Amino acid sequence: MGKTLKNFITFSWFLFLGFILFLAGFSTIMLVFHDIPGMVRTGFAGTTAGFAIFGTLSFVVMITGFVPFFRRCYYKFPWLYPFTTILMMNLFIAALAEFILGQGFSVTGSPRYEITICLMIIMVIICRFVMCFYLKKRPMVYQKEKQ
Amino acid sequence: MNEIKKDSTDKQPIQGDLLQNRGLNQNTAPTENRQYNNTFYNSGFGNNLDNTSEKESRDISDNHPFTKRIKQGAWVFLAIILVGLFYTSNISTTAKVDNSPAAQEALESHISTILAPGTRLLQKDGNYVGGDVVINHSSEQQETSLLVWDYAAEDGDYVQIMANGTPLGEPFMIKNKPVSFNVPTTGDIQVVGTHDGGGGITYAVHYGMNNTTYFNGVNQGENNTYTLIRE
Repeated sequence: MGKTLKNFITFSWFLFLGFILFLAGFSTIMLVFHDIPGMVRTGFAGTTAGFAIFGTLSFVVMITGFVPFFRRCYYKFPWLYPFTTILMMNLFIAALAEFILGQGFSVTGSPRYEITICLMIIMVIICRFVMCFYLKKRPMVYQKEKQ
Repeated sequence: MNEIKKDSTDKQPIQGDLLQNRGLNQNTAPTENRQYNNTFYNSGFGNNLDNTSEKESRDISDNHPFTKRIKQGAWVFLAIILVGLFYTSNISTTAKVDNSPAAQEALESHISTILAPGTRLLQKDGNYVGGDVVINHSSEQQETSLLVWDYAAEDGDYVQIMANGTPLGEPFMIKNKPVSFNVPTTGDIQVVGTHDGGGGITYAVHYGMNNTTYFNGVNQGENNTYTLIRE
């Protein structure tokens, strides 16, 4: 009965985590293909919600890592942890890009626009490079399923 | 030799085999026995046995590199959340809505001499469109401070301030935190609505010469004129 309850908790949390990861992926796509191009096209910054979304989803991922019952999801599906980590990294980079654009576009003016866009591009390149370097130095280690 | 095996729900048969094997392995070296237990108990699944070696093996899953990696990542997310909370509470320009009686009165009259600059009255923009204002004052100063902010939601409203037809800077996004300008105490001060982020351009202006705040609103492309007259 205890094992059944544990499995039920783990599976329920896996479903919830899957929904969270779907939100993270959807948010990343919306930031990259809708919000940021919209700001660049119009020249005006709107409500920047990228970091708020990232913070909320990070809380769930953090809980998953700390609570053993929830962490079992990563043991059951070894691909889940690398997927979660890289997805959250991508969301963070997109949110940071939106934040930079929001700050830079808060005052209209051509030189400021160009500088802001350049800063955003440089930031994205640097962050992607740091991410790749980090993952190369510390590859994902996970338990393999017994054959 | 210490092959890492995945946690499995079908653990009962393995546990049963392990118990049998443990009995068979009583004559083996304790180290070997502990390693064998570790192989099957590294998941950390609880059992009711009080054997010390099995308790130790239950802890090994917490020391597995994968588990350590997961926990380190969780700590990183916690640090990010704490930084975000610090930013939200100390650095962010967003203010809380003031629900005091003075704020309620200001919402109705659209003017206040009590509320501090930067007061937020609404959670969302209310599509309020005000009008021009004539301000009679007795200040002898040539210039005064003008504070401009958004008294509703920070939704991307842009305004431009003009003093006697001269722009005071580029159009900028108004936020809950006031932006300060130095303006003459006589003449026309215009607030031009450059961009509406949604719900109308709601803004407030505070003049230092009479310590009065005017809560106004303007449509995109239009402007409100504040005519300052020294008595």
